[in-house]
Amino acid sequence: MIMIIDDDDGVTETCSMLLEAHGYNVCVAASGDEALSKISATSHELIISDCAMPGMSGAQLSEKLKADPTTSQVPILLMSGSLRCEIAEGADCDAFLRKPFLAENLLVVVRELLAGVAERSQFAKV
Amino acid sequence: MRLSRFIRTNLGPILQEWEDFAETLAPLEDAGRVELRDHAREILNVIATDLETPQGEGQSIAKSKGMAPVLAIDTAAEVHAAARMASGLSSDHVMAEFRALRASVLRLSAHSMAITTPEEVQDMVRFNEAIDQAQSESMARYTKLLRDAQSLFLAILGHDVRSPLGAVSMGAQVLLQDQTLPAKVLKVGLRIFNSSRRVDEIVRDLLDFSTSHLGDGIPIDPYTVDLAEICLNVVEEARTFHPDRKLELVSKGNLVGTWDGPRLAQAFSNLISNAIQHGRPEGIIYVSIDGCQSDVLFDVKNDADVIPPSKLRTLFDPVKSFAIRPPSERTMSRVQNLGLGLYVVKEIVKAHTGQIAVTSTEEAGVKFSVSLPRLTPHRRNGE
Repeated sequence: MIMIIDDDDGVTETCSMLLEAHGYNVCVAASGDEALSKISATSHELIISDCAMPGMSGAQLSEKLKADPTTSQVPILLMSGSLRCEIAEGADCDAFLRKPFLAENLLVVVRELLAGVAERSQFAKV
Repeated sequence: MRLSRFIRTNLGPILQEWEDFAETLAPLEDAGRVELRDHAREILNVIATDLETPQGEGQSIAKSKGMAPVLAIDTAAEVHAAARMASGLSSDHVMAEFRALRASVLRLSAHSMAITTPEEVQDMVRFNEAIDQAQSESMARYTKLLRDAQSLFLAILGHDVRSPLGAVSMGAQVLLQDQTLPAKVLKVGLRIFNSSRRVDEIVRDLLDFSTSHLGDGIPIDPYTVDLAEICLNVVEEARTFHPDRKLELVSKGNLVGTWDGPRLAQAFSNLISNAIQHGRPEGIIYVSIDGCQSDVLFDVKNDADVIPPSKLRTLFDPVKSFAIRPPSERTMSRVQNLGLGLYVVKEIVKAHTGQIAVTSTEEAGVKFSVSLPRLTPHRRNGE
């Protein structure tokens, strides 16, 4: 399951449609707090979050998830429309996309991040 | 009596005149005494102390030009500027306060003391220098605060536009990926996608134009990149978005080096978009990138009407370019675009300590030439 977090429902809706069309299971949240209440390490393999949201920012959400042992291994993709992206300001994430982005770029990053999860799982079994 | 002593012993009347004047400024109509006077007392004390401190000729000249040494802590004049901005005063208002302060001190002192000695004449000169210095400090702080606020405003605006634009763009791409949809729907989807991309480019150029005008140009982050690959990607993208136009690319020499790849991709893209927009539709656009010399040379050439020399001189400056147009050519129907893209190209090239030139002749058409020195890496690859 991939979780998409953005206060702009246009973004969550269209990204969900794209990912679902490519066979992924997706759920959405409109804020960092809503995301934290829904996220669980067993069901979520990837988090895609906007950077600038009312309340908790994407960087703060990422920091909380990375600090929690139950979710620290879940890869996080941050996205932002800002020129001064949070990744440049030290946000702890695994990938970053600047809005607006190409569907192909999102699909490539998602595939790579999920492949990393699969790789880690296999390593863990060995 | 020396002027510093006059100021210290007449702070009450001087501050009252300052307060009376401040009250006439519209944003301070309902302000109380503390807000009206703000840092006036501190500013006057600084000036009085300054008058009592021995000063050489060099210091005097520097101060009169508003170039006194910068202190580590904020001066009273700087803090006053910030407070006045918070109260809603314009920079003209703040300037007027200092003019009024100068006039008050000079008028009140003229009523109660005669200037008879060379030291008292010198005091007047130094008082004017000190007021000039305080005024400069205030204006510099006011301008900086305004610039910072505008910069932040633009950053938020960019974010606010890009987020819904991302949804529009992604929505169009979702449609384009569904090949079961009728051709007409796919055509509309392609139009929405291309237009959203164009809006993104305009927003990006506008933000770059605004922020580089306000600050120190466009920042770059150089690292090892292959300009041949970057150039090919930009040309391929232009071919995809403009399948009806002919673009020829020649790439040669060593094009691996240290530059800001995304920024140069933006510069190349803007020059090619400019050629597509202004070139003759049937003409070929020639793009070349040459890494055989110490500097990399990038050219874009297209067929087009000759650009008059007066227009060529301001081609990279959209404000001047717009200003020199006769009023009849400033209407929306006569302005295809503001030329922000070329300004951004010039700033990106400048940030790389490169050069850009443009020529326009009947025989050779319009040619933009960029030369880029190879920069020294400042970080490791992959860092």
